[in-house]
Amino acid sequence: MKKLYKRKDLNMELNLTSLMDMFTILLFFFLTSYSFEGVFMRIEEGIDLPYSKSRIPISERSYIAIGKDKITIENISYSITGKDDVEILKHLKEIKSKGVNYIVIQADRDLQFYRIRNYIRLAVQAGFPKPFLAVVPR
Amino acid sequence: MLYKRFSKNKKSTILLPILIPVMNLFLVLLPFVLETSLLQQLTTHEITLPSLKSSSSTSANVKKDVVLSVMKDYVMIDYENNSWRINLDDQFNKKLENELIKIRNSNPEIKSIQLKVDNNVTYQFLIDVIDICKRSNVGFEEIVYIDEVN
Repeated sequence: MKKLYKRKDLNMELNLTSLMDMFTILLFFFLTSYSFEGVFMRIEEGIDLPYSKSRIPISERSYIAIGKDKITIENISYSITGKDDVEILKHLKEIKSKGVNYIVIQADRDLQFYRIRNYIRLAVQAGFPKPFLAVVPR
Repeated sequence: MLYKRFSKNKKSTILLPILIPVMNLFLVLLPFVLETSLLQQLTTHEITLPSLKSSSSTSANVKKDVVLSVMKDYVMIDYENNSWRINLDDQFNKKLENELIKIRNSNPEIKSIQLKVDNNVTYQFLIDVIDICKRSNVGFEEIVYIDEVN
């Protein structure tokens, strides 16, 4: 009688194939349910954006990046000394002519405002009445 | 011969059961790593520039404008023909917030604040001031940037 009810050895191994299947399904679920508000924007090298408590997502892709040593618009670098201001204005007007309504200003957090002021003026001159200041949420 | 062949196969697959859970783990971690390291969330502050409509406002309205002059070491508040300054110290954020709340409570209709920014102000300090103005308990929704013509 005892022999009949003798416990069989329990196999405690995980079935790895089904585990992998489950994780793959979960991965797709996470990816599809992941919502992203705003647009993807590249932060230019050497720019540490200021921290802020603002939660307004970026809605426009075009930007002017004001670094410590150069200005970058659409991967084209300009001098920060002011000698390229005419070219910068021309470039901003070109962006405006493509139907872009807003421009985002990426500027380093340690820059003094007089360096940024000039490019806000140029953006306004080019036809962007409301510049957006890019920040990193705190 | 047969024994040798089978035993060889066993050796080559000995690492597979260890690799699979590791692979699984990385597969799960991958989206989180991508999200946190490569994609940094960016937000914006919108600044408005004065329009012709707002510049042609009556003198009564002009008196009610709140003008914040942001300097390197202090902020000057101009409101109803009075001006007072808040120095940059440890309590700066709290003091500025309290002053703005007082103004807002005295006149809840005011929704915008005008900013004059000195050349030597650091960009981070300006953003901090804008943050305080836009705080929910302060409630200045519109930041109007006044540029000075040299």
